[in-house]
Amino acid sequence: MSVTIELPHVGESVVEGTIGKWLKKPGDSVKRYEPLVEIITDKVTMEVPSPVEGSLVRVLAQEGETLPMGAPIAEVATADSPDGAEPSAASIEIEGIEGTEAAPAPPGTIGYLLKNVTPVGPTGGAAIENAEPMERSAPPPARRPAAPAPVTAAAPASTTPQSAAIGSTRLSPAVRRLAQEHSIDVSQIRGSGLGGRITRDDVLKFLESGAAAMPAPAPTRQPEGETSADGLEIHVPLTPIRRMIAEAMVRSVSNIPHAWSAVEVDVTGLVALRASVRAEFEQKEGVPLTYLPFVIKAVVEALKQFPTMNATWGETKIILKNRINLGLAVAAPDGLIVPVLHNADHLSIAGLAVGAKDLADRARTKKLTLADVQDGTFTLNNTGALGSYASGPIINYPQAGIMTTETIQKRAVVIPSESGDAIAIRSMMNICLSFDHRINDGSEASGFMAAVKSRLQTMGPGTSIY
Amino acid sequence: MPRKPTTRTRANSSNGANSQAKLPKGLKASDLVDYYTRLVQARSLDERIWMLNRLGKVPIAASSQGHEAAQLGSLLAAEKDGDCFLFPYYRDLALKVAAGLSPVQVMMSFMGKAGDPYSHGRQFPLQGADLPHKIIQISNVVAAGLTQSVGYALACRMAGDETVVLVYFGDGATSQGETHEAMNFASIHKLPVIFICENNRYAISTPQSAQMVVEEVASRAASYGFPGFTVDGMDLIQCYEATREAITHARAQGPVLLEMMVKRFMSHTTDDDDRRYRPEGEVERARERDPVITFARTLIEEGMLTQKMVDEIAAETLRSTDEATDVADVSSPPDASNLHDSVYSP
Repeated sequence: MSVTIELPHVGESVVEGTIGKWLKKPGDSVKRYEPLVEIITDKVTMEVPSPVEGSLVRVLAQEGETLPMGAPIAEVATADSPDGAEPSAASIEIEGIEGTEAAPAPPGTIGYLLKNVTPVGPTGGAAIENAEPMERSAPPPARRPAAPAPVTAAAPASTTPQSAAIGSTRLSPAVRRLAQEHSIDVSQIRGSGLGGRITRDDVLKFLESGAAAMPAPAPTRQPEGETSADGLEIHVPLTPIRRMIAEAMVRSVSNIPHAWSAVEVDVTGLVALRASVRAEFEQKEGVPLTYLPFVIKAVVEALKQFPTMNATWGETKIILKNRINLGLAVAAPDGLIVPVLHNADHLSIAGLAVGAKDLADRARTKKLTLADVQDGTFTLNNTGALGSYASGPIINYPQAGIMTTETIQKRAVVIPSESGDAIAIRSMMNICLSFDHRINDGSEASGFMAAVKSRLQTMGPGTSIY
Repeated sequence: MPRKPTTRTRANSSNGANSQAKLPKGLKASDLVDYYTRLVQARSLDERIWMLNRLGKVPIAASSQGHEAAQLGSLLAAEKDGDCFLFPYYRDLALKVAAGLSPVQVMMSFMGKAGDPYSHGRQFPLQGADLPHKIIQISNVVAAGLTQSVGYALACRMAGDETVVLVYFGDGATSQGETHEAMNFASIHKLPVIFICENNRYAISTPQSAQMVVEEVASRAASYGFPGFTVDGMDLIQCYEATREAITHARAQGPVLLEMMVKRFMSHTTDDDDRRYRPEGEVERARERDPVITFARTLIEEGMLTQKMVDEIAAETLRSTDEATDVADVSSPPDASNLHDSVYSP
């Protein structure tokens, strides 16, 4: 007979596991309690032994695949059914899995969910079996029918009843983190797990696809909501990305004592520089030349001079980062995202222009990879693009600081000189800095700002951009 | 009783001589063979419980692998004395098995079956009273057992009996306020308590260096005015000898702190992954002193066991574990109709 091995319920609120490595391959014989497969859960990486002796017929889950506890992962043929010992609770035989030979259907399409894991008890962990097993052919019942569907008219035709409610579907911590790291709106992902659940694989595939095949994303700027009972309020459900941004902001503000500073920079020379090289550059390089790469250059050089601004708070120490990886805040259609220009200090102004443009484009078209959003050491935000004159940015946790560049305005400025003060029309820009006051005091922060300022002010026609 | 840590070496007893000459005071060769068998049985069950967790049949377990020599050595001393009462903690599976809990009872308890001898599947595994074996474990709360054990010792004193109380805890428990309360109170009243610290140098994931500045927990005994000793917790015989001495001292003069230096072979519990915080190779090096191996080697060298007997013991204990697993596996969970039995409900 053949026994189906399920991903075991290992308790303590672990609801899914990822296949790490098969320690046996089809055809191998396996002893009872001999390690069969390595499973990675949110808590542990563990070797799962075979509950029976026999030979591995086939594996039903590939390495890297994330499945809910209880999902079938392998079939083991046993010589004989031991008398009286079968069936045991953890190896419920599932018959009639068809099509596994050629192309195994994703478990979710079969629609059986014999067990559920619910946190119970004082430590929140125990496996309980559903009192009444669900019909195998029936789709899983909607958990919360009242949940509003965030995507309606714009939803692709293929949207299943399950995925419509994904905005409120629980994600495992690992999947949630992965989605957060990529600032992905999970409502756009169709889950392949049991009951339409989104697995780690689904997120990775979504990233790889760049979501290019997806129709235009739902217009999140026109939120739909439910009108309150008294008709005076509209309650708009949070999109996943809104929730992620909210969590990130709260984490930063509640952990980091922010201090703020702003200085005025005379960028008249920079404006002239850009004007003088812009047309040629754009023709030659094929990317627009904004002020951003010049500012990045100045910031990166200033970070070199003030390493404690390129650092994190390590509770018992200050951790200085040898690499300068500059995060650039980008307003993507679904919300804020911060891709990272790695080793920004290795690039010329021209290189920075190309790199920043590439990141911004990919952020807007959702083609960022995991590496693109990781390991930032300092963040730059061009709030001036929104017309702002000064802003108090929230640090991109756990970095030491975040700087904004504000609108460039022509202003009448008093220019002191030996022959007497004069009034001139200059291009002025404010730069604002929020910094972690645990790591730096005002003197370092002011020094850093002064360094950025002096570099920007010395740029002018003749400054090389290569 | 000497006031400096015991540093028993086996070097001076490794040459020639018959086995009788090497037997610690008060022991027969059969005692050691018997305890070796209990040790292997405990290990076999312990390993199986971990696997059963990975199969989803045991919700949680804390392994005693690496702590067995300390637990069994002290238990042997308590048994030989005959008038001791034990307060173990959550990592003392081997102690309870060696004290007489059957493999089937162990499996029933870990699988949460109706046959769990402690709570019929209502409590964490192995928690509760086993009065026939003079054992009680109050709860999983770290250091909770210390104050309770001291209270029990006071009661024994007031009742006028000769009981010596052995209370077990990990190094993490020494950072709890209750440890101070218990030791101070026991010292003031010169209560017959032996504080046995199974020091594996990890409080879950916190290394000892991040938890205390002293090298030896035993050094703290001086501040309470009673003796403290550090012994090799991987050496069953040394733990036996130290505990016997401690029992004599405790009965006559009051508390003793015994720090048994052990190694934790497994993660803190089945829900922990120690590869995240232990240096690579640490566990492998620790396993070179695995008591299952070293104790067998000692007994073979001293002519009390043969390799054949070792193999037979391994096979026999594994069979007991297999049987116990199968029996518990197919036995019933607690019946809902008696939900309110065995629980405290005012």
